[in-house]
Amino acid sequence: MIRLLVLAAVLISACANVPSAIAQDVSFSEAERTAILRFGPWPPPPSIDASNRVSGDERAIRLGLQLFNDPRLSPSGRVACASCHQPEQAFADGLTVAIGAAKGVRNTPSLLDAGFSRWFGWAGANDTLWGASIRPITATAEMASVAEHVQKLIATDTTLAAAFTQTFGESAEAMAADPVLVAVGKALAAYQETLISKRTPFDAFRDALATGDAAQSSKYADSAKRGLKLFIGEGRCSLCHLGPGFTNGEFDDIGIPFFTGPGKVDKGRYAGIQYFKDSAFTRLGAYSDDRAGKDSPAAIPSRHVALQGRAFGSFKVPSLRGVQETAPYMHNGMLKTLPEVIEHYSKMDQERLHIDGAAILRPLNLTPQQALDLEAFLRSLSPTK
Amino acid sequence: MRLAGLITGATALLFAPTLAAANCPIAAPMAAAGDYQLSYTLTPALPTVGQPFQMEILACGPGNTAYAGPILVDADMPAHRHGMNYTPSVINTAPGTYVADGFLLHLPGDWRFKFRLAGVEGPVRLAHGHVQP
Repeated sequence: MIRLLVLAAVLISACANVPSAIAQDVSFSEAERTAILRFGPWPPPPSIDASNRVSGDERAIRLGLQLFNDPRLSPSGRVACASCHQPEQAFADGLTVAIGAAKGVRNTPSLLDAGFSRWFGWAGANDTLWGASIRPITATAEMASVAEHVQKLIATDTTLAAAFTQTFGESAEAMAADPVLVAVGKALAAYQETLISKRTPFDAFRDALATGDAAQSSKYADSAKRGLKLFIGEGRCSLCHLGPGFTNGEFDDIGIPFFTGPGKVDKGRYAGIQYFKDSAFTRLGAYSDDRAGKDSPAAIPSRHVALQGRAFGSFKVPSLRGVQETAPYMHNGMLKTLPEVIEHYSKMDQERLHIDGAAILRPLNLTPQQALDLEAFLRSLSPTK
Repeated sequence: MRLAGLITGATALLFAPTLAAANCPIAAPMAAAGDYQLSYTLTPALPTVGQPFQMEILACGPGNTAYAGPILVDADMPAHRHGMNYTPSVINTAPGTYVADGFLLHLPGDWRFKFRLAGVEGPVRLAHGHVQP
């Protein structure tokens, strides 16, 4: 009896020093556990792109790295891929909107885990990473280059010419300009496929949950656990941010304005599909190396994507992996910090959404503690430094 | 030559009811409207959110014969009044049997597969609910 009283006194004393919200044990139901396990394992197996014959090729990866950092791909000699996709900034740039040859209208997305995507860029204008690598080279606001300039650079630079010939089996000088541009895109893609985000505290927790490792799962902060519970529960964040990549790979309108200036709008996914359907650099085009051609399983979404009115003003659901490192947020970079992102969802203006039926998105009306918990969870999706 | 044509025609007549009987009536119809009914299977059986999947459809028409007309397919979330971001394509692979490609459900929740058949008296619409985990 005395022992019990002493134990009770010790427990009361211990709990008295902890705020009540923190003292609550965070446990997960079986359904929640199932939902959490779906966010892994991480990393997934490497992706090999059948439409790119040099995908996974070491020589192409080396050439791609070289080209990625080479500003001479732009005629001005000032803009490289790495100018906006900076390795030390999680392959983003930390700016509100990208600045290449001119100021753009969209935030630079991180390239980490890009190889696992189906559609590329905020509007999904490309269905391959190599196509997505060609687009900024020729975009007037980005590198403002042309195929002839790229071919001349590769053909006349001794080092690049040798690496190109070694990788593709023919010299850039002997090829037409467009095939050289495509090959450059494919080497760049081979390099970018290697950019895979590191494991995170969340991954350690998720795997511990899978194996029943209580000691390991207890190392995951309670605040992050509560945030995770919100994320998969009443927050309904996991409706779109799902799977190991924390994205459904599709597009949605979350009430972020798409006006880019007086009388100017960013059509988002609508323009992306239009661009895709007009592009020669797709899985459905002559430059794809996939022997199955249009019948390839990987080409099924490309063949069936539909240009619908509701794509207007929709933007890609981004991965949340490494989200702590990729501020500012949203397609136009209008939200500077993670707390601002959380506030956006907490106080969402449904008038901005083009809702026709029951709302999928609704204001979360989070308490200050819930907002902090959600932030703790989101931060746990970045590797520990 | 004429005899060969007759034999071919007779063979077709013999086979048509056999094939129809194999498919129709469908043992457990998943959707029915008037004289029309259908069932389907998905590949993979349990699709993953955000990943493409295929649908094989068995369809029957009046008189429990294999349906032979065109089928249009789609999916939507009735509560949210929005559909897929993709338009599936359908091919007829055998009498009463169709394969639809290009389905992709981008959200978990209550979906509905929708089918439009060309009925004798006009379009026939059928639907079947699907819960995407």
